[in-house]
Amino acid sequence: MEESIVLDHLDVFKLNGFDIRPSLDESPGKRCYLHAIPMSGNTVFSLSDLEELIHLVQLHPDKKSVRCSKARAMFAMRACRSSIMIGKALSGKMMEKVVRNLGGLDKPWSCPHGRPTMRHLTELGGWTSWDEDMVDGQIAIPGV
Amino acid sequence: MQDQLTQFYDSFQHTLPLRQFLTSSQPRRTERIKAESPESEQGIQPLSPEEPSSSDQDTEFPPSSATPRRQRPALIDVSSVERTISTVTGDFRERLATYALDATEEPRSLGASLTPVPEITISQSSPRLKTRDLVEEESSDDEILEEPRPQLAQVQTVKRSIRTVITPSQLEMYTAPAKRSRTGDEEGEGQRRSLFQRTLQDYLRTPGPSEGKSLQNDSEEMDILPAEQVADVLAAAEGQEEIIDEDEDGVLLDGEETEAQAEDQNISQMEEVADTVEEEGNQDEEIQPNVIEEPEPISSKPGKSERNLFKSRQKNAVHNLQTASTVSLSDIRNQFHSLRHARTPATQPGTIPGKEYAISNEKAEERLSLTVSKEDFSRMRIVGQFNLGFIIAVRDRLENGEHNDVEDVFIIDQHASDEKYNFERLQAETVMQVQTLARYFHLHRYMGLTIDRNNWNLLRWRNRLF
Repeated sequence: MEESIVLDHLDVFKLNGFDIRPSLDESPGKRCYLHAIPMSGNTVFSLSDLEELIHLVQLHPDKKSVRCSKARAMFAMRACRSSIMIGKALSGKMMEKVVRNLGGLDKPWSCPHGRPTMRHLTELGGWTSWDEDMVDGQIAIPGV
Repeated sequence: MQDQLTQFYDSFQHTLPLRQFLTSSQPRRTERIKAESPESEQGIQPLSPEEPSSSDQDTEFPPSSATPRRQRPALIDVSSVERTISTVTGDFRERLATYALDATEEPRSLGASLTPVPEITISQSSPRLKTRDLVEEESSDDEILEEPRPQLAQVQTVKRSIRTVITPSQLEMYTAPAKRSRTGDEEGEGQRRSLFQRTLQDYLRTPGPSEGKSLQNDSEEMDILPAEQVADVLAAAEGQEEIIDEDEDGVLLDGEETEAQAEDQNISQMEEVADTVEEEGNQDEEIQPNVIEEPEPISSKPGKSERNLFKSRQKNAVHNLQTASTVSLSDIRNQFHSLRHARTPATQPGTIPGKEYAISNEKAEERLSLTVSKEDFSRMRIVGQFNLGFIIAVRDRLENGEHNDVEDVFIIDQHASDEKYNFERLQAETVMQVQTLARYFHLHRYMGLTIDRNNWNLLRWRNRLF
């Protein structure tokens, strides 16, 4: 059964660095040969990660990018280091870009470390400014 | 304030010649006191060497400069004066004691003692005399100044100066009975101005402690004495003194103002003194005067005198610290209450009722996903950056495809959002580097193990692999 999952999602495993080559000559259950394992920087992956990956693919068969927890942590770390830091003044364009980028995300609500990206502050419903000096839509100047 | 200062300086100019005269006359006085009581030498002599230098400094008004001068002689005098008291004639002593009681209640006892009237009033409180020896002794130090003088008929000028100095303070005390506790300082201030006043002060300072003690122990008794009586006595005393001091009236008037000024400055100091006395409680009587005097130099000016203090009595250093804290505590409390009162109305109008801000992450996310769709991000209007860390954005709410009057304000964490964006991009795009195995691994065994066997076997296989 697991073999069938792997064979169905060979691209996912390829993306994750597990190079699995099927050999259709073999009988079912013996068709998969692992030729390469992922490696990134100092992070070393092992068969346990492949195991987890198989499990995740089994849970979310339609997902394009499935990553094992080790890879997720690694990506989160990299993303955190490379993104805009707090304390940096942003131009209007940059802010716009950041906000628009949020629209295209899968889950824009919280960052990979669990920090919320945005909060609802308040609503400006029926906001009326101070208009006691307004007369017929114009500012009334006292004494005139 | 400036006016008062200028007046004060003017008064100095007026009084300066008089002061000089007094300084010249003072050694005489000390001599006489010596003659009467040899024991008093120790106390009085240290004063005289300081006088010449102090006359120059007197022109400087700030209490800080004056305090060190004041203090050193005072410390010495406390003991010496007490000794002199014992030696001085017995009847004087009795009178002094009675006055001392008065002095504890109202420092102007100096002026009052000159007149017979105060004695009568004091008789009411006389039982206190016997009960508290300390009060008697210390307060009697006050009287010594005056008492020996009557005997010394020749030094009339000296007498006058003293009275002039004292009367303003007395006047103030009468006018404002509430300030009684600070009278010790008033006296001290007045004496700063002239050398002779300073010498007076040394004597007067001793009553300071006694006052403090009386504040502590006899607070009830103080209250008992009706204010009108005091006022009458004082008025009588003033009348007499004025007659005596006709020529120096102008100086007196100036003195009043300056003293009023000085009083304000030293109110805090005096309060500290009172606190220390309260804390002292049952400590040795000898120590008390010292302790009381210490806080003043500390607060006003750290200097030679202060160093000497610490050297001579390190014991008391702790008490100094205590005084500072106690005073500030009450002050802080009061200020805190006042602040809270002032603040509450201001904050209320700004708050938005009915909004819970401390909602859990999941709940907030839920609400957000309900209120914000991903398309909303493209509709959001950027307001600006907040605190260099957040983006404020506004989105007008769509209801049934129609624009609503209601707008929602969002705060967006610039780092978190960008991090999320980078993360998802990394996840989607990154192709992991590949480490090709030297020999391919047949997965069927491994998979079969994961299915059929337990983890222990799995581990074994893994070990074989790597």
